[in-house]
Amino acid sequence: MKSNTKKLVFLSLLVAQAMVLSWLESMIPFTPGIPGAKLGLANIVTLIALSTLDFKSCLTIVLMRTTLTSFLFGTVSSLLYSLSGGLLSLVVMALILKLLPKSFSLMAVSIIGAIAHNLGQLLMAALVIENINILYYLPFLMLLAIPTGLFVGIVTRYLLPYLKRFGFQFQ
Amino acid sequence: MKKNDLILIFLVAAIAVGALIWMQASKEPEADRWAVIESYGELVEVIPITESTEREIRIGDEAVYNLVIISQGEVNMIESDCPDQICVETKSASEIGDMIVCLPHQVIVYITDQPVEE
Repeated sequence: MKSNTKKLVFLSLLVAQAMVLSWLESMIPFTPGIPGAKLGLANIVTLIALSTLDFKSCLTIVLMRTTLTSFLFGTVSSLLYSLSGGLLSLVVMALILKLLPKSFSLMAVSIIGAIAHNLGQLLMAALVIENINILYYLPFLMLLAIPTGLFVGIVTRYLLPYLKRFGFQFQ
Repeated sequence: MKKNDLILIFLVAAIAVGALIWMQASKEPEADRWAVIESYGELVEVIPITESTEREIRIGDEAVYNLVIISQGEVNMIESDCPDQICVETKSASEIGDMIVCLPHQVIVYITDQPVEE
């Protein structure tokens, strides 16, 4: 029972932190003129969740943060894009960690997650504007995903030992 | 950083650069060009582009709009009241395959060498 409460608090904190990171990111002027290009700071939270919690909790976190962030700072259409991107990247990263454990470090998982996020958003955008040619942006986004994914992965790697030391490990 | 990580980063970069080179190579600079403007999946206008084409096209209504200018063989989104302004910051489109997208307004402008039925 005690560990359940602790888990619930940890989960809520992660959702809150993801929202703050999304807000912080919207303050940083980083617009290279490509739809979907961003730092992806909220992915730090998804990576932390994947390394400390079960998949169902990770799914809850992603669903809650995308919904709440879109309601607070975005629009209805931004909900569509962040949901499709967030869910695809969560599933892809979870699969890599599950099927190929230890073959990649968190940095590589983070880069793949970033690309999956871009792909999810572009596919949703292609559906919305009914034009598949928008995938034309994917190579640019893939190149950008290398530095941003590396950054997110490094942050997560240095953060995890602290969380584990304080007992935030529910796997 | 593991060896697999470096291989992955290299692969991602190679695929991306390869795709960019392929997209660049498959452009035909001599072909006739049209600018196609779509809004909410519906065709708005198809404009043949020549060096002398000078057009200003407004998409939308009083509340929500995008302003597209065609000048000197280039198409540029110069104004929009969308929240993110990504379409305005996108560089002008001049070659086949180039596109400017305004996701908030679901407006898309692209250059094609295929005559599109209006």
